[in-house]
Amino acid sequence: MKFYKSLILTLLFSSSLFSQSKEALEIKNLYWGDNDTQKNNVDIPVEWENESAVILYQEYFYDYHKYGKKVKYINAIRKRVKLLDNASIKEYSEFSFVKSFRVARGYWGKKGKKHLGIKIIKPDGTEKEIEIDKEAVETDNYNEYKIAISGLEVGDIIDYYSYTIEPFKQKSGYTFKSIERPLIDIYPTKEFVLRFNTENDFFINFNTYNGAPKLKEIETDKSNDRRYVLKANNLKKSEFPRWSAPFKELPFFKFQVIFARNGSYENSIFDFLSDDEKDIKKSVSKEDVLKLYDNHYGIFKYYDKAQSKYFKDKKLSNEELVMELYYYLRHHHRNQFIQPVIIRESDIVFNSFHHYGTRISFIDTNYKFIKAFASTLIDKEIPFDVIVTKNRDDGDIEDLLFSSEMNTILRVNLDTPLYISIFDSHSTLSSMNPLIESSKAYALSYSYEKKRLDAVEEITIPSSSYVDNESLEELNVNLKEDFSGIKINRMSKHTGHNKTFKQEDLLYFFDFLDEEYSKGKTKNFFERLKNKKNKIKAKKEYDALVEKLKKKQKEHFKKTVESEYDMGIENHTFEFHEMGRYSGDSSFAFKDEFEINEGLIKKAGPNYIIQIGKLIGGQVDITEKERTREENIYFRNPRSYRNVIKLTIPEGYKVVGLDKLKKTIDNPTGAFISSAEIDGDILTITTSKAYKNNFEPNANWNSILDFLDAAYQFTNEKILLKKG
Amino acid sequence: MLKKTIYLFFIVLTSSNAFSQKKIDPSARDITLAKKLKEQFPDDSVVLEYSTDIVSFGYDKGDKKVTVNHNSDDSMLNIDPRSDIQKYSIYDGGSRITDFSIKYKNKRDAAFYVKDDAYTSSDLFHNDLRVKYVNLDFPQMGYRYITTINKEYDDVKYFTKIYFNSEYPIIEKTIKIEVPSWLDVELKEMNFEGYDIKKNSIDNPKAEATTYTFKIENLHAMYEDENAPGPTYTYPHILIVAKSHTYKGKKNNLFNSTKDLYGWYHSLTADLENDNSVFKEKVMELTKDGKTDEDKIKSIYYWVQDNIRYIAFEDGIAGFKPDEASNVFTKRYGDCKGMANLTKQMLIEAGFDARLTWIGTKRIAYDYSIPSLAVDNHMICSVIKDGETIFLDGTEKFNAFGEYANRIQGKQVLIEDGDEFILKHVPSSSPEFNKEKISYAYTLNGEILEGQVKKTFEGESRSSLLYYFHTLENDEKEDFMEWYLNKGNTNVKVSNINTSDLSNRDLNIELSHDISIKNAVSEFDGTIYIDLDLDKEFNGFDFDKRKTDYVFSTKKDIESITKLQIPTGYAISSLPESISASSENYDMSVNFEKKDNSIIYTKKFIIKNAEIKTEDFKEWNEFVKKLDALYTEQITLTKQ
Repeated sequence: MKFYKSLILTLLFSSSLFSQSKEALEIKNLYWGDNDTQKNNVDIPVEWENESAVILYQEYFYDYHKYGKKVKYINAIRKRVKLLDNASIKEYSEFSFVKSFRVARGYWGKKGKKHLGIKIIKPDGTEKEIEIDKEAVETDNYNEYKIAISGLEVGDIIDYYSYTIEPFKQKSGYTFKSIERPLIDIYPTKEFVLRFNTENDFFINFNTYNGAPKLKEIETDKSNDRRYVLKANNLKKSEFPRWSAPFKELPFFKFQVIFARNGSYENSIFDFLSDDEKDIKKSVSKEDVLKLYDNHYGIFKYYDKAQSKYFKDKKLSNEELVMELYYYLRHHHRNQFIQPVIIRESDIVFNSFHHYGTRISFIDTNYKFIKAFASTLIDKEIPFDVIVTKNRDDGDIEDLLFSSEMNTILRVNLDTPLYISIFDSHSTLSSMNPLIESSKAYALSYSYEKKRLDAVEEITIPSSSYVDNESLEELNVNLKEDFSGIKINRMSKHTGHNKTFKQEDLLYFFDFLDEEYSKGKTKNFFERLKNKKNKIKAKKEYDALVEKLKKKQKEHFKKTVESEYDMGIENHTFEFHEMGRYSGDSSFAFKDEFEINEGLIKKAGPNYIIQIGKLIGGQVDITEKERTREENIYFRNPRSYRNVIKLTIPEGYKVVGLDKLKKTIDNPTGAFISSAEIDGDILTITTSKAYKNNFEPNANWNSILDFLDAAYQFTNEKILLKKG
Repeated sequence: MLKKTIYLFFIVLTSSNAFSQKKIDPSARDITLAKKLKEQFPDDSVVLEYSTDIVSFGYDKGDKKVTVNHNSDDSMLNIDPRSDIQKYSIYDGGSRITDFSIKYKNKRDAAFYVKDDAYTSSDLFHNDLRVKYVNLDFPQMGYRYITTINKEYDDVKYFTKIYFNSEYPIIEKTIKIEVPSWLDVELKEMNFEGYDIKKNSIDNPKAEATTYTFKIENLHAMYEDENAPGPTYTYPHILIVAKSHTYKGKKNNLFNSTKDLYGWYHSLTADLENDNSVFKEKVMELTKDGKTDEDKIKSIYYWVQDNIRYIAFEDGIAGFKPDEASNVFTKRYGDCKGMANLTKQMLIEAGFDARLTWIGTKRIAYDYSIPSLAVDNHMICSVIKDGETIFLDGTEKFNAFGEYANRIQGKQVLIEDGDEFILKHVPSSSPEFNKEKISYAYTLNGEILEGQVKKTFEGESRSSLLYYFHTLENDEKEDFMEWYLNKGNTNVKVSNINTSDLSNRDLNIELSHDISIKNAVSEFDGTIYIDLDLDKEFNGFDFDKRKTDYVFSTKKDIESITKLQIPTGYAISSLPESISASSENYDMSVNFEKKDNSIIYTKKFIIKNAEIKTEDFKEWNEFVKKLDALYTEQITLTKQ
């Protein structure tokens, strides 16, 4: 969305600070010299005249070279933009940049040089170069400057480049961070160019996707000089509607460069290299993945004495053991440390970790978790696979190109295979990362015979259903005697992915740590303190912190309810009923009570109109513009929401208008179904809304709109309480 | 042996810790006091048991400037279970913080790291303000810190006022000002009414100084109300007006009178080179087609509004001295002073008598009867033509010539006049000047309300809409108009939008469109219930919890007339009752009537002075409660 555009363009480049040095002049000449192909690029296509701005030309340049023990990395961008309104003037009116910096690469980063050039081309063709050194002011951050661009008016072209040279020393090899970039920008683009230069010992993984043109090699005279270019023209501006996945639909390129001076580095790095550095690696096969993991099987080697001892003599079924292992790791290597972290961060006890022994093993990465988990599986000879996949919205597994894109999880092959993909404060053994559900993946199976990963197959990770990810809200609603508002008491139960979201939002450490320590059978922080006085003092301060945070939690909870209903609430109280932290099947349940005193009841002579539909909470409201859509629809996960609303009908009144509360839209993409009936003095309304899948092709957009519209319309429905 | 030594050392260290902790931990009395204070100040987390400011003056012989030393000692007591706050002090190129220390209640140093960062503000592109601060944690209720901040000013003219209130309540506030006999300083007592401030002065012949002491007890914290008047209206404070000083028997004027203040301003502007050659041609181009002087002035004024972006550099003297007009013209950006100066020089180039003009916006309570830098915060340009003065504010985008923004209306201005100056006031306009007129004409089509809408915007209601509209991206303008007219409500469809020329700021805005509204009408048992009001102005706009006057950005005069044709075969069974309220600051009325075969629903909301005073709150709140109730009432039509 355009609204996220930053006001100040932060460019990690430079100014020609070292005033017009030879190098600076060369770079300037490179872009704006006599051979500048863009000199006459000033016109925009008629169809873009009503845009905010048009990018006439943008060029990305990457250059990787080596000189003896040194490596020189250059990255640069040049952009030439025609500004057509005040909004785009504002967008380009301020730049911030650093002048020089220490290169954070290799074993010895030298001083990086940066060159920034900005010029303005007026509609009559006159050009004015901005005197950056003169006009920029230094900010409080070391070496960071900002500049307000002078002389900018609607109709002008701003033409700028930034050119960064990063030299560093590296003997064996170095993996550059991967770069992934859509060709389109926030403004339409007339011409997009990517240039790419390398030489021997630089391995390149590069490809383009979603219809972006391919990278072309340019013939050169020198055998070790490699040059590539990618060009695209007339690109529309980016628009990301609700529920879209840009990297699944928009043309983009991605690449990673690995510098490997010798074979030993090539073998040591955990990544995919082409067989020959002369060839660009364009894809990664499942065999490549197996080979990589098998070669680096050591990354799974792990030994923790306490863990090994704990499970050594356990006589448990495989199912029981896996379950115990998960919660053992979650408590012993993660959650038991939450308290000392909080105590340290709040300055209650500075050295809080001193009370946890010298060997603290905190699992804070996916790989650490996999290692720790797999080590006990191997001890107990429980069959498992390592599963490698990509986040669904970032493209398919066939598009895998480098290791940083991989999402690695475990599958324990019990009677029902168990996928283990999340390890955090509240996750359970069966918690699943919603972003990899229904994605294609490679399963690398561990052979107990060969003691290695020895086979690979393509699988599809199962998806949860909307029934698994449910929020149920049961409301008892009573009108105040004077009809000035309503009182609600509510029981909410959340399961699956809906549970994860709610737990993260509402639970504070003090809500679950007592249960953690009691189930994990470890001592809490205060039980570890030997000095009685210190213990009393620390406990007192910790309790004060908890009291303060409970107040914050109460305020936050209230705000959450207000945003759910899009209305103010009063007198809110709550209590947690079920934490749902030790089993995937259990729900996170809480009860709360509150009043809504404004916005629900309307007086109509002696009668009252109740906007009862609003009690299912705010629903997605699709604007006219959103109704026309070209993109496919990507949801995070399937999910459903159920409401049971029981309204006590005040004495002396009858309810009129139930018909509009009965709706049924049910199609393969989702549903909204509601009912309303009266039994004695209770009006019971039930609703259920379901998003049945995590992906829908664009052709199904109208089916989705059907149930979304029905749900939104329901929130507009009213009943009449008629006197007599 | 070594082991034993370490052991002993450990014992000593821990026991001394326990000892010192005992001395800094809150006692039972501290906790009782904290609880009592929490009852008194339920919305605050920290209370200053005492807060003492001591101000003294010196003379820098080198710079020949009167200097100021300002020392603040606070004893901060935590009245919440735990508090985490920032204690800070702001300084700039003309001042420095020479002491920033935090002590425990036992007077031992608390080792907090004092951070020093640039003070950034979204309004200022670049400034020389910096802030020193510490993050203070009070781990228990009743916990205390004693803080000392000492700040020095190089020049007394920048030390303009001192407030009694702070962001925390204060049990005992003392301000001591030690005035040496060689300095003539006026201590102006502002907003003291209603506050029990005790004063005394003691002459100290030995030190040849007089100490003025002001004391007040149980002072509330500064309020956090939004849209509040500037603090100079609300809180008691002392204005420090240093008039003159005597050095070696010679009296030197500081800001003895407005003339001195102007003299200093004039000395800064007299330094300007005013080389107008770069915009000569532009001025010619802008004025060549103008038939009248007004056309020419307008053309230049609008050009500055439209082409100079507001970007402020407030670094040292640049906070007071305008940038050269030629620089502002070339850069196409500047602050208010830069825009005022460019407007002036372009007008001079076109042959008009244009002057720089200093002004304090409505945020400041003072006028130029006080010779102080605290009086103003803005600069505009005045044109004197045929004995009339017209004010031009280049920062007010889409402000029409001869119209003035509410924020400067009625304020006194200081206009340059060579070595002299002219004092005048910016004219005020009436609320009618900003008239917003809305009319809806509806018919019922089943459960859909259909009809036509007309809206007109005048004065500031017009310029603010135009300004917003012109900040939008070209391709968003059409969507914006639709969103603006249906208020982002998908139940409302607007079509056939017609607008007046939105590029002409001299014309009132006129909008008309067709409308169709879903879900505003319900039919139950043959009776129709209608929610006729899309706009519901001032709904929930009560000031139940507010402590300060409410300030609107402009005066308002809203007139909304809705006409609903009653469908054949139906009769009105109930209409909400009409309501009204009036005071010096507002006239509000809502009226329902049946005329011929229609319901006429008229709302008139006039906010006369762009503010609601606290003394109006009781009546205002009563009206808003009635208005809220009225907005929830439905119009009922029954089948005959």
